[in-house]
Amino acid sequence: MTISAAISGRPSERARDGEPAVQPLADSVVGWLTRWVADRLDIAAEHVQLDWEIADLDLDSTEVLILVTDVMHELAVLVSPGEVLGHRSLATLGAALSERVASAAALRPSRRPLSRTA
Amino acid sequence: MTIHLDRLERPPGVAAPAAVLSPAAVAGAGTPSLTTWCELWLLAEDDVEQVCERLDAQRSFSTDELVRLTRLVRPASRRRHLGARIVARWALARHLGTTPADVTFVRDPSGRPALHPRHPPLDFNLTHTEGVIGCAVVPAGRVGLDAETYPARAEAARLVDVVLTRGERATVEAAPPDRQLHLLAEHWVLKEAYTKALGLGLRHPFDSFEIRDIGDAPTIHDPRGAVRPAPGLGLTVMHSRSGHVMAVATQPASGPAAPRAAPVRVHLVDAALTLTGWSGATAAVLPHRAVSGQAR
Repeated sequence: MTISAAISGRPSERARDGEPAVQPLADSVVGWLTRWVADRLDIAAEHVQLDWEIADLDLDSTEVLILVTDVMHELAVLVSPGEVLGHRSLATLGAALSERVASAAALRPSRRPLSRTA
Repeated sequence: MTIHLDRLERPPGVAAPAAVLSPAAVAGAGTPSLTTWCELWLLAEDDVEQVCERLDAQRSFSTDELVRLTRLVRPASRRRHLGARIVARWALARHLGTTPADVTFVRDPSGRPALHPRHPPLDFNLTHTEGVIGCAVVPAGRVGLDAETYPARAEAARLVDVVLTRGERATVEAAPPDRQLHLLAEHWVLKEAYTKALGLGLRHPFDSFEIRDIGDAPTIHDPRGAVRPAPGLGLTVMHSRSGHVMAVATQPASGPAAPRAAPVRVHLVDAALTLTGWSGATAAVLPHRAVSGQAR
C-alpha cells in the first residue's frame, strides 16, 4: 500500500468499522522512512535496521532538516528537528510519525495528501 | 569588522597552542567569567588517516567510541567521526594536562558530547563537514562551532524556508544569483554555532531568530528564544581558501562580574602539524579571513 492510499482511506484499505487501517499505514510510513534513510546513506533498504540509533546514522544538520522537510511534503505532517533528534531509534521515530499520519488521516478522511506517493 | 587572521594569535608552526591554561587556572576561584579566547583546532578530512596512524590513535579510544565508529555506514562518516574524536581527545588532553586516553566524555542532556564532571569545566564543541573537522575549546562558558562547504551545497537551497527568517530570505534573494548559496552558508554556520553555544542545536528553530549585518559585524536578534544568551556572546565567521565557511559562538560564563562584550581571540591550530608534524592538507582549511560580532 502507498502512503497516499492509506491516507486517502480508500475503502479496501480501511477497517470495516470505519477506523483508519493503522497498521498498514504504519508499515507504509516506516517503509518510507527506511527508504529515505537508505537513499541518504546510499545502501540497500534491507540493510537499514530499525533499531539503529538516530545518532548513529550520522545525519548532519542539513540532512536532518531535509528529513523534516520531506516528512512535511511526503507525509503531510509536521515534525521538528528537535523531535527527530529526540527519538532514540528509527523504530520510535517511525512509530511516532505513523501515529501522526493516522491522526491527520482521521481528521480528513477523504482528502488526498499533498505529495506524491511513496 | 573584518579581521585578517594572520593578525590574530596563530600558533607558529609545530609549537604548542598559544594559550594553554593549567587545570587549576580553569577550575579555581577567580575563573574569568568572560571567554577571552577560543582555540580552534582544524583537521582536513584528507589528513585523518595519516594522523590516526601516526598517533596510533585508536588505542586511546573508549570501547563506546570504537563501537560507534563501526556502526557508521558511510566511509566518509567514519573518517570524519574518527577525525573528530582524535582532535577532541588530543586538544583537550593538552589543556587538561593528561593523556588523550584519560580524557573521559559524557553526553549532556541535549546529547552533545561534554567532558566528564571529574575534569575541569572546559567547554568544547565539534563539527565536521565534507573536507574539514573542527574542535573549538574555551576556558569557561560555552562554545558552539559549525563548518559548512562554501557555497552551501545545492540541496540546502530547499531549506531556506526553515532556516531563514523573512528578512534574511530577502537579503539572500537580493544578492546576485551566484552569491546566494554563499550567503545561505554564512547564515547557516552562524545560526548553528549560536544554537550550539546555547546548548540547543537544531532544537532552537533557525527561522525563529535573525542575523543582521552579516557582512560587517554580524549580530543575532533572538527576542523570543526560550534560552537567553549571556551578555557578551561573541560571534566570529571565518572563511578558508579550501571552500569552507566556519562560525564560532562563544558564550561567557554567567555571573554578576560578567563584563560586557569583548573581542574573542581565535587561536587557529593545524591539528595535523601540531600533533604529528605532518604538513598535509590541513593548512588549506585554516581560515584566512574573519568577521566578528555579537548577540544583541
